[in-house]
Amino acid sequence: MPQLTIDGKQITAPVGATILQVARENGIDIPTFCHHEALEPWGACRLCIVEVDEGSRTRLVTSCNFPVKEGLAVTTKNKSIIAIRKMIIELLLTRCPNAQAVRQMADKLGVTGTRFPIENEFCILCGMCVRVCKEIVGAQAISFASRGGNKKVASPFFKRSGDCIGCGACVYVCPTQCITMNDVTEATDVYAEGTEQVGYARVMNNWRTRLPLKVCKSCGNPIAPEFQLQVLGKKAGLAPDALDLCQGCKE
Amino acid sequence: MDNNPAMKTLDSAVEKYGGKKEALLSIMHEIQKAQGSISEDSARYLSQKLDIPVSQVFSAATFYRAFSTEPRGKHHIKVCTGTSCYLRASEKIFERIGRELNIAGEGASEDGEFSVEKVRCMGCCNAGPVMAIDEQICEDVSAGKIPDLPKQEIIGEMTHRKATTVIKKYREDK
Ligand code: SF4
Ligand code: SF4
Ligand code: FES
Ligand code: FES
Repeated sequence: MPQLTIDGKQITAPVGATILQVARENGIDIPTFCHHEALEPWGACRLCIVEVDEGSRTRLVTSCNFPVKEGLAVTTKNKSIIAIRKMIIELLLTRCPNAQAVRQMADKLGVTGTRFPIENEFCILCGMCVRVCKEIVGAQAISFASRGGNKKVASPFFKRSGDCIGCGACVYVCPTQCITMNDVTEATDVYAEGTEQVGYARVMNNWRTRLPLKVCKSCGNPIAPEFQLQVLGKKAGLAPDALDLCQGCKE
Repeated sequence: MDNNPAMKTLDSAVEKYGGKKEALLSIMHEIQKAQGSISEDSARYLSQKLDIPVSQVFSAATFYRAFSTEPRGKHHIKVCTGTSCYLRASEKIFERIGRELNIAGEGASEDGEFSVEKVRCMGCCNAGPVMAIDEQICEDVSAGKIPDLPKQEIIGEMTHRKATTVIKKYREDK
């Protein structure tokens, strides 16, 4: 097991762990914006940078995806690290001045304002929604679109996603709460010829997707999106009628 | 299988690479070349054929400069607006081309002949400002020179011969 030091503290770390994991386990705080324990490291926000000394030279690396090594000396805070983190958060504050998570992080890092002309985005492009949908849900319903300043998270062609199961994992994981969903009791489809009542439905606002909710065979209350139950039931190898009742009626 | 000719192009591109998922980008290159864009229909069809989520095809189609989800013209013009060319007023060149070809901003002309796009640094800053017509790089362009060249000449000659010679020749003629 590799021996290393973080901010001068002698630590024995498990093989394959990242600097961030080891630091957090030892009560050393490193700010992050694109890291989630359940997801693969991504290395996009750069907020988690630290300085590593491997003997011959020092360099700045992202701690969330840098594996620990024998003899590594890590510094999580010094003048240049703080300056870089402040710059990153100032830029995020420029893009998302009204996102609570960004403001809180700015407060924490002592950044009070921005020198640049502000925008009013909420998404910080941390990619957690895209990654949770791929890595955990397995749906790959959403992705990044475009590049550079136009980059955004989107459903394919900014239209209804046929792969979204309406699980809400993306809503849950988003640090700036910019993904929203809501359940409606009476959804209506509008056609040229007239309208059609759909009944209970879940609306994923950002992904322009609406999924009819399955209702309990016994009590008639909505359970979950029909499509989600189909997909999950198939994955779990359940009988087609296994998910016909709500939790209450099952018991 | 679809009898639509557009879908046939897709089928043959997919077949060329043995229907392999890993060949997505190569297949997309073929389609972009043949159809001038990766349309929504193409992306959805491709996603089915290769068993790749459509989100991944969409993401690739919008990420790489080589692809475009909007149709490109028969001749695609790229104007470099990288730092060095920008400083040499390449925005003016871009504007001028738009005016000449009647294209507002980036996009294609109505007749589908030309499309224009801004790109960042084409890797020959010393020859800037540069633009490219199809695969042909035109060096040392200036906005003033563009309108004087008849459209056919810009496109016809520049695509077939080195653009610089066209410009030089034009200068000599003057
Ligand atoms: S709600 Fe849809 S987009 Fe969000 S994680 Fe679930 S499947 Fe993916
Ligand atoms: S929508 Fe939320 S989770 Fe997705 S990239 Fe933007 S900030 Fe991150
Ligand atoms: S948490 Fe490491 S780069 Fe975002
Ligand atoms: S900036 Fe135009 S070629 Fe480099």
